[in-house]
Amino acid sequence: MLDSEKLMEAMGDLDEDTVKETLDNVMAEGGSEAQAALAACQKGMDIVGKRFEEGEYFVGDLIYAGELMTDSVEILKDALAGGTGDGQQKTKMLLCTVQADLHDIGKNIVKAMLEANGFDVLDLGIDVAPEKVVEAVKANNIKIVALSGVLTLAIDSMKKTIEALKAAGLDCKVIIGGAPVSEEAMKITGADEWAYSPQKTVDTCRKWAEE
Amino acid sequence: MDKNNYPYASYPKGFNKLAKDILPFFMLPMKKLMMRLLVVILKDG
Amino acid sequence: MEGKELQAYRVGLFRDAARFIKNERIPYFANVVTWKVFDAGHTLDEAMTDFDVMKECVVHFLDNYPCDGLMDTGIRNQFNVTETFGSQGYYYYDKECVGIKDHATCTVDTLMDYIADEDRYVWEKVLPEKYGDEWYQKSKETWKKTFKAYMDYTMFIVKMGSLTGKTYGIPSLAPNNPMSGTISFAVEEMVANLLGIKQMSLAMRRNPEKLDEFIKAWDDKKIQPVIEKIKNGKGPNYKYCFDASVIMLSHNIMSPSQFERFYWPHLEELLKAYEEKDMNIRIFTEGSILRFADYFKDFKKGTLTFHIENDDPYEFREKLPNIAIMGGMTTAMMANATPDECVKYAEQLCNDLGKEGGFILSEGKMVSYRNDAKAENVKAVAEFMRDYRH
Repeated sequence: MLDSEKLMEAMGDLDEDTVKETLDNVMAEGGSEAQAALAACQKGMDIVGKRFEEGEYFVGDLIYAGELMTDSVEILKDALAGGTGDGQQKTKMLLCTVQADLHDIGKNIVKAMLEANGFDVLDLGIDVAPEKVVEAVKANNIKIVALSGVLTLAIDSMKKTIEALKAAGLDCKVIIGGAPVSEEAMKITGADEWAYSPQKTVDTCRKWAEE
Repeated sequence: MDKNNYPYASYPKGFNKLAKDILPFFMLPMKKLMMRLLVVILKDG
Repeated sequence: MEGKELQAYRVGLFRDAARFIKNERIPYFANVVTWKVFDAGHTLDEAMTDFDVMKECVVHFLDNYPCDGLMDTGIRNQFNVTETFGSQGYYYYDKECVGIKDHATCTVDTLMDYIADEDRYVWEKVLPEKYGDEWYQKSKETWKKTFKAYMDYTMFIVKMGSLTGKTYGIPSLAPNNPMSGTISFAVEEMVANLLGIKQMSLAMRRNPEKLDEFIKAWDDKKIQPVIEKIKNGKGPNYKYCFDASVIMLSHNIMSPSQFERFYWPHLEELLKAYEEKDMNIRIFTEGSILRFADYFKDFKKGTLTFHIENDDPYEFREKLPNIAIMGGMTTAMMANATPDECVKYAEQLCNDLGKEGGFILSEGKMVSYRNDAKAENVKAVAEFMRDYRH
C-alpha cells in the first residue's frame, strides 16, 4: 500500500533509495497506484523547487533531482495510463537551447521540473535555429516557448528566434532563461518574461497555461 | 595495429619509446615535462 | 616609461589596489579574449590556426586600447597541434565561435586510479578512449609533425609573453608554475575535466565518501606542497601582479552543505597560508560568490582580490569590505550603452569603490563574442582609465 506522504517527502529529501524502493514496490504490487505515486513524486519536486528558492538546495541538487524524476517515471511508465499525466489534458510547450549554444544542463533541469508539473515538453535540444523553433511551434500549435542559453551570444540568438516567431505571425508567449538573461535581456530580445531560476520558469508557464 | 602491438601503447615503456623517437636529443632529459604538456593539449583540445 | 619599468609600475598599481592602498591611478585589467580577433577584422578560424594572424589581433588590441593587464595574450590557439595530430575535438560555428567537445576523463569509480598515476591513466586510458582505434594507427611521422606543431605553439607563447611584456609593458598577472602560481582544487578539476558538471552533481549525493577520498588524495599531492612552499618562502613576488591566481567555478553547482564539505576546508587552508605571508591572491569567482560571503569575511584586508562576474560590485563591497574587487564593467553595458554612459559608469565605480584602493576595473565576463562589446565603448573606457586621476 503506497504511503504518498512518505514518498513525497523522500523525493523532497532527494532520498533516492527510498524513492526507488517505494516505486519498485508499487510496480511489484501490480502498478494500480502508479498514478498516485507519480503525483507524490511531482509534489516532492515542488518541495525540491521550494528548497532551491530558499537556498538549501542548489544547481547540483536540481540536476540530481531531474535524474531521479526521470528514473522514477521510467520505473512507473508501463503502469501509467495514457502517458505520464493524471488523465487531464496537458499543456504542450516547447523548450530548447538557442542557436550556437550547446549548454543543456539548465535546460534539462527546467524540463524535468516542467514535466513534473504536468507539462508536455517538446525538447528540441541544443543549438536550435530560429526556423526550427518556428516550424515546431506551427506544427504542434504551441503557445508557450522557453528559450535557454548560457553564452552571451545566446541573447542574439534568442532575439532572432523571437523575431522569427513574430514574423511568422505566431501567437505564443516566450520566456528566456540562463546565465546571461536579465530584465534588460528580456527587453532586448522581445521576450514576454525572463527567469532567474527554474522555479520562476515553472510558475510563469503555469500561469500562462491557466490563462 | 591495436593496443597489443602498437609500440607506443604502454606507460611508461611505450611513452618513453615515443619520447626517444620524436624528441630532439637535447630535450630528452626533460622528456616527461615536454611530453606531458603535449599530452594535455591532445587530451583537452 | 616602457618595458620592464612600465611592467613594474603596473605591478605596483595592482598590488596597491589589492592592498587597499591609495594610488593616484586605478588599474584597468582588460578581460578581453577572442573579441580582439573580431575587432582586428579576422575570423576565429583564421586566428586560431595562424600565429601571425593571432599576433596581429593582440597587437591591434594593445595599440588601440590602453590597458594595465590583459587576460589573454593570444595563446588560446593550440589547434594547429590537434589538427596536425588529426583530432576533431572542436568545431567552428559560422566562424564566430569555437566549441570544444567536452570529454569527461573519469567516472567516480576511477578517480583514485587517476590520482594514483595520472600520466599512466591518461596515456593508457583517456587518450585511447578519446581517439578510438585511430590512436593506435598514429605513426612516428605523425607524432614528429605533431611535436613540431607543439613546439611552434610553445615558442609562440614565449614570443607573445615577451612582446606584451617588453613592447607594451604588460605584466604577468600571476606565476604559472604549478608549485607557486596557478592552483586547481580537486572540485574544480572534477567539474571541469574529470567528471563534468552532471557526474559531479550526482556523485555529491550518491558517492560523497568517494569524493572525500579523492579530494584528500588530491590535496595531499597537489595543494599541500604549495602550502609548504608558501610557508617556507619569502612572501610576495613583485615580478607579478598577484602571487597566485585561482579559478573558482564549481561552487556554482554546490549547496551550502556541499561547499562546506567538499571545497571550503582545502580552500581555507591555502588562503590562510597566503594571508600569513602577506601575499596577494586573485580569485576569479565565476558566476556568483556572495552566497558564501560569510566564509571570506574574516580574512585580513588586502589578502584577497575577487574578480567578480555576476555579483553586483556595490553589494559585494557591502558584504565583503575586506576584499578588493576586480570587475564592475558588464558586457551588457559594453555592448549596449554609449561611450559616455560607459565612461560615466567607470568613473562612478572608481569614485565609489576605488578611492582608497581596493578596486581594479575589469569586465566581469570574458569579452569573447563579437557583440559582447562595441569598439568605441572599449576604447572610451580604456582611455578614461589611462588618464583618470583622483
